[in-house]
Amino acid sequence: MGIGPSSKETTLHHFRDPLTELLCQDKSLDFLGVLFQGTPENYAHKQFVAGRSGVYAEMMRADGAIVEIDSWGNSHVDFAAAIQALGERNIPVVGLSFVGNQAAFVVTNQYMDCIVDFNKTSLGIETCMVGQNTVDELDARKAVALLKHKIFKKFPRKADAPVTEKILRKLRLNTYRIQEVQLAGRTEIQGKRLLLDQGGLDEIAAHYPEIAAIKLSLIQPGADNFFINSILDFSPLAAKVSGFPGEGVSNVLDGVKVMLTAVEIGGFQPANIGSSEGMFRERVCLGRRGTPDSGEIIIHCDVLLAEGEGRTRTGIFAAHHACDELLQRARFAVKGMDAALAVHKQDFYDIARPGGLRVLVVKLVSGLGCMYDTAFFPDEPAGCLGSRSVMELSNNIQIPLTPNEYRDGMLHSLC
Amino acid sequence: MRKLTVSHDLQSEIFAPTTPPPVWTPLTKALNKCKVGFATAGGIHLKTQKPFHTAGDFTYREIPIDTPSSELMVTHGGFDNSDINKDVNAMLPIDRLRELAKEGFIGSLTPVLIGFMGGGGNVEEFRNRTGPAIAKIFKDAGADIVLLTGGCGTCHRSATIVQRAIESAGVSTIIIAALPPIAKQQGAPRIAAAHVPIGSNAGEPNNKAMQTAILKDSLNLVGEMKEFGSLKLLPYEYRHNV
Repeated sequence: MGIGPSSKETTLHHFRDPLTELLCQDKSLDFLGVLFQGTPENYAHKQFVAGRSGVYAEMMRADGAIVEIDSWGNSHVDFAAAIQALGERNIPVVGLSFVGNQAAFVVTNQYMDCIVDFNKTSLGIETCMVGQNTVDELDARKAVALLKHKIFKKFPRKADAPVTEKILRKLRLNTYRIQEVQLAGRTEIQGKRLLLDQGGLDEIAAHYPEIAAIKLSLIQPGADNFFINSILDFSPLAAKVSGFPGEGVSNVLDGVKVMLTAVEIGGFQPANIGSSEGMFRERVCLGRRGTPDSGEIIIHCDVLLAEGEGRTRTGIFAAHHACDELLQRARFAVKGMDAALAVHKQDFYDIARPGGLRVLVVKLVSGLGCMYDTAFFPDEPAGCLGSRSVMELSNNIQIPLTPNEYRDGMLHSLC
Repeated sequence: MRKLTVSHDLQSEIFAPTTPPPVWTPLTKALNKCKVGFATAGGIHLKTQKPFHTAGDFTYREIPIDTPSSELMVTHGGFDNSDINKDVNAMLPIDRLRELAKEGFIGSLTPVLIGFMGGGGNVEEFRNRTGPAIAKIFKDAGADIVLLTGGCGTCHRSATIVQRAIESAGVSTIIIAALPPIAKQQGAPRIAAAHVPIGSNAGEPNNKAMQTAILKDSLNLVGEMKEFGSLKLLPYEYRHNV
């Protein structure tokens, strides 16, 4: 993460977002979905976009909303404006943000009376440790509890309403355990062993004028005493087997995760507000929703960018694309797994719960330009190929995702 | 009544700041008699000076007024630097200032301008040390007016803290903001803002006419504004493709 390393959410975090998980499980809630919006660089556009979040929430007849952000500083202008837009429409709102000391709000308003700070450091600062200052289960629980409290206080009748359930959509997620990964001359999954083709890296690099070279390596569990370039992302290795995003069947590997790092020729680290290059053990907070667990194997894709391309959207996007091209070879194997071998079979549902509290999540993601952008609807869960950029698709205007679409990896972090 | 999972009277974990008390130094001279300085929180420094630490830095760099703009660069996270890379005058309009002094629109310029990096800035350091130190430089130079710019969000806050220190030292100030509500809430005495993206507060890169107009309007506002916290939106618009 080159941008606010410790507070930035990775693609892996989005794939297993704790707030979405909690809201889906709570039977008293009619969880409407996640409304993503970008954070533009122009003040007037910031106000306009954030204002629309209030309008959309009202159109959805939301009883309450949680506004969540993984950046701060100028983005708190968008955060404050979104909360205000909801508040002015009489929609109770709870905010989730990294604040600590360093990110104390630069603007506030009367509706920002209920904020959960997910700072995790004693100094309250943005650190260079990826995953450290991100939302965990407890933060999500606090936010949901506070929102319920606010809604009941404002609309006491809601507490007594009977709740019914109607299943709209089912997503089956099959998880396969991997215990060993080897770099080889072909890609194949043999039981719990993943063979990964290490050839053709130069050919992939050649697809992108922004990229000079790509390196592929493995990090075994426990190994942490080595240097890495600035981390661009962590992601799961998942593949769509059948159906549209958010329904049908997806497969995901457990025991292995992907780390993308990059550096420019000349040594510039693609970073902005602190950089996560350095010794692995000091730069990755393992065990968070957005980072691998300590016992997992990491497939490490390190991209060498042309000079200057670590500071552009196109360069960063190219690094993510190239990494995804590489992973795509493995995805064919992941797609073909025998369902009988899955260690977990989880069914996720989009459920309408008439009578429940109608709760919307408004999620603010990067959309500022430079390195700041976010990708939506990739071809594969948590992938990048085929995705659209929030800046190009909509100029940061809101994009709604159903809970299952979000859980099916339809958002890819780019910073 | 359904059993709730929360207790009564829960409150926010966050202290919500309020606007600090007014600071105000009225401008008592005509512009063409004024000595003008400029400070930017936008991370501008000489290419030969030590770059700022982008995760947070409360040091500052003195930029001699005769420095060619080609000798300046930016080190700042949190916003797109590409406009400043094209033309540093978009954040620190040093060429435009010299032109205004030459044409007699303003009296003279301070011997040094100040660059600092306000992003993620430590509020206490800026308030207690950096702000007063920068204020002293301008006060000792005999400045009548100091203009300021800031880049990202926390950078606008740091810029405003420094602006208040300068105003408190008896020099009239105005911030040319890209995020005016931050300057307003943090207690800027005077605020001007054009319709520009963060990073091009002082106007479109290489657009001399726009940069000059924003600068002249802002200078005029220093005398025209009579109340603490005055904000004026300037009629110039620039959008860039990123």
